Amino acid sequence: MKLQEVVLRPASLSIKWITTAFQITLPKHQGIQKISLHLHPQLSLIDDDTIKESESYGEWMDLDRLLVQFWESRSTPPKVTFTTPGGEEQDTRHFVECMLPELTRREMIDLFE
Amino acid sequence: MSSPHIPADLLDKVTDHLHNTEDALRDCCLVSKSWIPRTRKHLFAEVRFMTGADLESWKEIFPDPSASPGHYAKSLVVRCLRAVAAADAEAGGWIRGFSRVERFKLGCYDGLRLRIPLTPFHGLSPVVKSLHVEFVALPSLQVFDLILSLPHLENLTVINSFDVPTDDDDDGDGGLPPITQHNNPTKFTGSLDLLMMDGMGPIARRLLPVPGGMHFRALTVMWVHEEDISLTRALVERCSHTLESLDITCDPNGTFI
Repeated sequence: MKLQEVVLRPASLSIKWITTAFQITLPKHQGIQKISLHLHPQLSLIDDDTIKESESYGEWMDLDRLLVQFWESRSTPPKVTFTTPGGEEQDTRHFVECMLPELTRREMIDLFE
Repeated sequence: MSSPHIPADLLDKVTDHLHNTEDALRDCCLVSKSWIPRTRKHLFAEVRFMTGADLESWKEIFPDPSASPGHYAKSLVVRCLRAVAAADAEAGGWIRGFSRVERFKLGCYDGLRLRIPLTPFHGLSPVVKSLHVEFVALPSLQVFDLILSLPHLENLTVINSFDVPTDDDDDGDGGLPPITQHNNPTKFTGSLDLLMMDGMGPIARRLLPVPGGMHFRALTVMWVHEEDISLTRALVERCSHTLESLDITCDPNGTFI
């Protein structure tokens, strides 16, 4: 199994499909070295209240837990990156702190490649 | 005074150095007949037929297809399918003049059901490594036959706005019609990009059972239907020994998950 990198490009706040994508790849491809999330820059501008009230907030919390579990299960943890191509660094940082809190707190995620 | 002799390898170095300066290369063409092939190698490395007018200009300047600089082209872009297909029929294989094309880009944006056969492009060049197909309405069976006619194909990109089945796309019982078999299975060793607004099924379902298998190293897909998930899983498994990178985008309006 050679798969080394998985790139996911959420274009909306709804990301249940990302969990499905991980179900396809993570169990059988233990050699994954890098997981990249490229978010549409406009999404990083949505305010906190709107985000937390949205149905998708729970999906992001699930993703946060899933990535932490995967990261911890590996002897050589993968590099996890998060970017908003063309977006502002400050907005991106704020979005990740809000939506992927555990990954951020434990410094498991790089905001820029 | 006799004309000075410049060694061939030095001439090659001069023209290679000027490869991306079109005006200088045109000037080089005027120096001597012996400079023409060397400069044409760069001047015609990429040929684009975006409109019928482009094609008419080409035919006017190079009326004899066998003597045209088409064989210098490494990259060919065709957007005016109808005009090129007509030229090919008229000159009995006009497109074969582009016999060294490695990167072939084919597109049609008129949104109408395509009635132009893609057969003139079959086996376009024995060295095509990259095929990029972009249609508003994808004639998926025709495109798939084109894909299989290129035995050294490594990289494949298919982009479309919506799939319009051709009359022979469905054999009536929900299965896929038989594809044209070719002697040498296509290689498929590079990248596969399927960015299809109506789902990747029309191409992916046909790719999965191809003889010789698939050995893609990079896969880029867009999910718009539930079927796209299972097709992605199947593609990843089919290429599991070679696949290094998987890139997924999901339709932002998709409510299928």
